Amino acid sequence: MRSGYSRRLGGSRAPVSVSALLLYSLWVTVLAVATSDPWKLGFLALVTGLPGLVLGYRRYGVLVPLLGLSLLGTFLNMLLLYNVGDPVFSIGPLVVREEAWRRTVSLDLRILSLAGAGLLFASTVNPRDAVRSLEVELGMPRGFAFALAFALRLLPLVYRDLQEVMAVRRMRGYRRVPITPGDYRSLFMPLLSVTVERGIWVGVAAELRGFSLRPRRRVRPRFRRGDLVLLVLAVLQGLVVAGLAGP
Amino acid sequence: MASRRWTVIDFALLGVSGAVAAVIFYAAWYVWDLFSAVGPLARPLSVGLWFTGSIIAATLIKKPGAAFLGELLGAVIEAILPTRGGFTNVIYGVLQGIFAELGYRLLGYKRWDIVAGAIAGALAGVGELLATLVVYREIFQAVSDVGSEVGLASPGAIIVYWLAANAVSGALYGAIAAAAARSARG
Amino acid sequence: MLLEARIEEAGYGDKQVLREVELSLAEGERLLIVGSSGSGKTTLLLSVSGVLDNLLEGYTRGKVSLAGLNPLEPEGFRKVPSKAGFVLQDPDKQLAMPTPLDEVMFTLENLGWSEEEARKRALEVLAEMGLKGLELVPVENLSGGQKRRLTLAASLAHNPVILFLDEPTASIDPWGLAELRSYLRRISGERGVAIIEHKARYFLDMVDRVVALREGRIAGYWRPSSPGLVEELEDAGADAGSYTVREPRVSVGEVVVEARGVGAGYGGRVVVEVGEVTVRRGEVVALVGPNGSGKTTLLKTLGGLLKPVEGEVRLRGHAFYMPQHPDYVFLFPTVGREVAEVKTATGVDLTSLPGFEWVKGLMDRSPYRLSHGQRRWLAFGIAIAYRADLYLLDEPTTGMDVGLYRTFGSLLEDLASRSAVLVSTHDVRVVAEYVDRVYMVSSGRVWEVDKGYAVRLLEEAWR
Repeated sequence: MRSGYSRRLGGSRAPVSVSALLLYSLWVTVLAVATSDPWKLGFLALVTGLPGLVLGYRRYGVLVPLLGLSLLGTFLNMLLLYNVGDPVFSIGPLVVREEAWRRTVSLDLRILSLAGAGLLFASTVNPRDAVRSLEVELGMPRGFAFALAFALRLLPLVYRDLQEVMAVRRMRGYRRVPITPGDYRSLFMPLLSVTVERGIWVGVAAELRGFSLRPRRRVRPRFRRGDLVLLVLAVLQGLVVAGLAGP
Repeated sequence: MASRRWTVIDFALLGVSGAVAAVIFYAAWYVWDLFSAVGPLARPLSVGLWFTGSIIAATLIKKPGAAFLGELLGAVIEAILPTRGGFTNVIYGVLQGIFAELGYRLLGYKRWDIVAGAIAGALAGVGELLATLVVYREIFQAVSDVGSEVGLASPGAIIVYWLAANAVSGALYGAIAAAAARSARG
Repeated sequence: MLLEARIEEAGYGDKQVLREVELSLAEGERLLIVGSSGSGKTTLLLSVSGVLDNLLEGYTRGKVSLAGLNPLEPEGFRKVPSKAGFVLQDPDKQLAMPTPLDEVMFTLENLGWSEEEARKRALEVLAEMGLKGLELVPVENLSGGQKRRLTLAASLAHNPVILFLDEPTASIDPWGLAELRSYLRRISGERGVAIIEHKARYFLDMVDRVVALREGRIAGYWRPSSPGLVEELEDAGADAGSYTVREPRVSVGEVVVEARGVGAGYGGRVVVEVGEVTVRRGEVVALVGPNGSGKTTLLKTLGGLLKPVEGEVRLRGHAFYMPQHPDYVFLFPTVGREVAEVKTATGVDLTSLPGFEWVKGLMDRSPYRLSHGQRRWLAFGIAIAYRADLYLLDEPTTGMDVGLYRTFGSLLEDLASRSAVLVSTHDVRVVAEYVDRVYMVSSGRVWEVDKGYAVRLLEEAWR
């Protein structure tokens, strides 16, 4: 889990605003779920999925090959389950038939579009900008925004805790790879108890720093030039999925 | 608990649950892939891991709304970490959170023990089924088409298997999550 | 007066902690509150800040006036943050935001500052606290001393008239302590500062008054210059005084762990180059050096938990690594299960070890619900039961008061009679009183130093 924090101290100077990018990614997610048409999904995969995957690969590496495996898995499953209809093509002695092929294509293109939309957001926005714009621009309640920011603070700490707990398990002669529910409990209990104790004190500290005085702050999202491009792309993909334009 | 109003400590505990849930959810993708080798057993063995966000939050906070927000927060972080599911994680989080919350509501927001965790976890499985029916309906269609063709299983039977697997997995992991969260909160 | 408190009684539910405590703090005054663990120091802070009554399920009977507010009432409590700043014990239990910039802006934005003003002020305060250039680094990448300064920045950014610090020396090294002391001198001015601490000696030279708490009551008030203060504070359970530098043990056994030409680190990156480190049975060896210098990495490498990046560690026998946080050592839901599992694994009945009789009365308790001192004690007992050949202890005395420290000392003596012990520590007492040899870890290297030199170094570093 790499954390992406920018080196900027001033306001964001990215060509697109965080809010616009978030709304765009959510919109493409909705579109990709809404349609089953392989051509329409192909359009989404091309316009959003592919750029997202390229950006995502540069940042998260291993996730993208894993995605490839999952696409392949879908194909194999479909072959196993439902290889009927007219032959489409063959790989050696294996004849791939229409039903399996059509369903694989739709499903895989959707998976690509969904992952791409998510990666597009995750690999261009750092978490702290995301939290800030969710609270200030999109009106996320301050309590939830605080929980989200604190959770992001905790993640690397929990990871460190996990390594310590694993170290002690080894010292005390217990399995390194947990198997039984008891193993899992013995792994998570120390983690949880340490983190819960931290949580209670962080709550106290936040109150002593004026959390309940925090004014609700709404700022109209400041749109940037690049947002126009996102808007055009969003509308275009919307029209295609609605069947009003394109392939 | 005297009041149902959320204090800042409750929100901090929500953050705790969100972080722990995000780690579990992230790991769950790998568990899922691993168990996919054993075919239909992947579901009962791993899907319940994705419901633990609501159980941990509810057991720690013991207030209405905790189960829903806990599941949602875990899913939001899972989406921005990111995982393969992208923002569909949030769809799953909302639906699973609603059904887990329903579990605690049915118990009158009075029980936060292991049994309650198992019930809420089992119910969250309904949310998972709904989300998958929406997001990956082709999988379900293929399974049910082939099922009805070979005469082994009707679409109804597949839904029943699916729900049962979700319920077993959700109850199991829900009970574990509730037990751990109960011992953790002093 | 910035603070006037007359507490008749305060505590949680039916557990009374404080009784008849009077406390005051004037403008520009620095007050030191000392006392052992369980003396009620932290409860006092929670009570006068209103946390006990408004946020935790506790109560305070009496009167408190904090910068003209009544923190015991919800309305007054809400306004406390605008007047007062609080630095709590453990930085990991108060830093809530992902980066230092967010952490300081959180305070300011809560108090109504606009985003632009808050950012400007936050950058200014971070620079004052020596955190320039680290504004957007993930908090987890900061050292203990840097985290401590961040907690100061986040509590001071809005210029509160009164500042409370709860055990600010826990978790920082002597170098970090020196910085903390100089920042405290600089920021005082007209502010009132109350420092709660059991290691009184780190602040005696810079406060105006000393108050000691014992078993929830005031044990006395002093001027720091009053004669006989050290003895009186020690009677009150504070670590006020000196220690004796003990001669190293003479008879030691065979080499248990040996590392020559080893690069310790992880992910292929060397953190510490080890020329030579050996630990023999029957001796206690210390690793000293600044936070973040790689002491924990070195301990784990010697214990076989991390594979060396370069070279090879020769370990003869079993190692047991004790993490800094005792909770990591427990793996079972009750003390009883823990005791039973230890017996199955090692054949040792924990409750029969000298000094562990108290465990018998707590068998059905969750180990996480024991007091902090009991948790450390029990974790140490588990370690002893495993009868390892090499013990690797990471900062074992953090947060211990004198009483617990003595108990720890005798357990350590017992361990050293059978095993090799390597302790990473900032605690000059440990080095002076229990350690035979010292390795210094700094700037990516390890070398052996004379024990007397190490004691002087740790002693001079914090002043």
